[in-house]
Amino acid sequence: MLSSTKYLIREGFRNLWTNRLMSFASMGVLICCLLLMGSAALVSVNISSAMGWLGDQNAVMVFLGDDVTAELSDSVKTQIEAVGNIKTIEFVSREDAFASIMSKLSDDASMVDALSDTAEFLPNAYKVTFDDLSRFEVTVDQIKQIEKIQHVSDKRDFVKRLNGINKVVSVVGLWIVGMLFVVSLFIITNTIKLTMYVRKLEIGIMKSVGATDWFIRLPFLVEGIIIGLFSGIVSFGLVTYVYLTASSAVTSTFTIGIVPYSSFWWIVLLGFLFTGMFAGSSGSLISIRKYLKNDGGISND
Amino acid sequence: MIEFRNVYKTYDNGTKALRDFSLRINEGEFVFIVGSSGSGKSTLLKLLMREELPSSGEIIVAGRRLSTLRHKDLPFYRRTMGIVFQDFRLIPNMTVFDNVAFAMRVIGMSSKAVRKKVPYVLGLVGLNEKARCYPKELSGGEQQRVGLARALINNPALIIADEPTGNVDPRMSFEIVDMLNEINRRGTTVLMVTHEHSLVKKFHRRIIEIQNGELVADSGPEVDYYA
Ligand SMILES: Nc1ncnc2c1ncn2[C@@H]1O[C@H](COP(=O)(O)OP(=O)(O)O)[C@@H](O)[C@H]1O
Ligand SMILES: [Mg+2]
Repeated sequence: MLSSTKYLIREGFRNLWTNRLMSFASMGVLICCLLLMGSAALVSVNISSAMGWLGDQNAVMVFLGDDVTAELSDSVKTQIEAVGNIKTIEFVSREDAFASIMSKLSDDASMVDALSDTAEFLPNAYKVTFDDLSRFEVTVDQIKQIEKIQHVSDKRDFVKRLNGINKVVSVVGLWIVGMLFVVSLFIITNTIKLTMYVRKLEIGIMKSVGATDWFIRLPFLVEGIIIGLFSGIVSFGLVTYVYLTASSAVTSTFTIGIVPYSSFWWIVLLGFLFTGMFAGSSGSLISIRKYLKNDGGISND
Repeated sequence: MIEFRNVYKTYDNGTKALRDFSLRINEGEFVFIVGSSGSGKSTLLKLLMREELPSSGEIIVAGRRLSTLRHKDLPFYRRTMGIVFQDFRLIPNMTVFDNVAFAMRVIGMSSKAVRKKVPYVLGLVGLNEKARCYPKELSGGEQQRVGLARALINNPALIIADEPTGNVDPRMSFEIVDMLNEINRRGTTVLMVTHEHSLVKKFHRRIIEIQNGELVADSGPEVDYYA
């Protein structure tokens, strides 16, 4: 068995070399597709992350009734947390709120004068952010049910739009990745098929001496996997280089954005290797299928 | 060992290649199959290799009804036979050694067995010095001897040769048939299709003649050449 394995792997490499033009063509096509897929995925990840960040900027203010004492407000907090989907919850006292307003108005002296000593008219509040923005409305409605809550600042329109954009980005990203995968599979299959003309002789001889279907298939499979792995590694190198260069450029220009590469490079690597191997091996198996299906093909091509 | 029982073969396009064909070949026989071009000789061999199925009738080889073989049984059935082709069918970018070794490797034999067996069989066909040559560096006769070595390498009980001397010059042709003869003497059944009557005459073996898909002559039991 060991010598068979060695033979099959060597045979895979020999085929690669014999058909090196086609092998390089397959790799080229696969690398292009992997790069496009990878870019689509990375852009989509960054847009999602930017959306999340924008969402955090839009905390909901939960205003408490005038009669809520310090002790009562603690129980309200517990009740809000019990609703679930709460990421952060922060108490904003009427004094804090007043100071914040005053600082925004500080340019306009007459307004400041007019408003001084009105702090007691402002309610105490909780500033709340959510884990999952898509459940924004449900969560807000549940919070509204809680007693002693006077009012919840409701920005559903904005959140709705955010969620909409996020969904579109994910769906379009998935479609692009899916279509590119099909395209690359199609091109690889046809590239390998072009080499079949040369290999018909070998397949016929293998059949005539009694090689099993799997023994005939395996060198092709090895070949497809090598093409896939190689393409995956090259694509990973290129994407890593571009991403690191781009993110250092972007972060030095803007303050926000760009998900750090260190947090997910291994997902990109595994994704590329797996997709490459899958495309390569499926391409091989699809191209050879026709030649194994019939019992003939021994005495003539 | 081989039995054809009322075999008909009609191809999809309507060509009737064999009609009511019945034949028995015993283990250890050497049989020439002759007949003009298009008479159905290759069809007969294709049915034996189970490349094609008969339209009706039954073919039995070593107790196996070929019609009952499943796709996954075929490799193991084919390991019992060695096939020699008119156009040699050698792989151009493999050496003589590798072309012969290929037949062992693709059925999963160990490289140790390959190293032992290939030189032995190349010796049988007198090609040990050419082991490192590529097919294009050999004459037609030498290429066919490689084909013969490849057919022999897995110890088949039956050798099937479809016009093995068709692309070989006459002097070499005699040599090839003589080798088949020698192989037969060691116990292997040999079936050889040819339309070179001069060759057939030199070897006093059983001769079967096919015309228009029908068996028209059978010399019967072979003349014992070595007696
Ligand atoms: N795959 C095929 N499809 C259709 N007709 C075929 C096929 N193979 C052979 N034939 C026809 O069957 C007849 C017998 O062919 P064949 O067995 O090759 O004859 P031979 O080997 O004696 O020259 C011929 O008329 C040939 O054209
Ligand atoms: Mg023929």
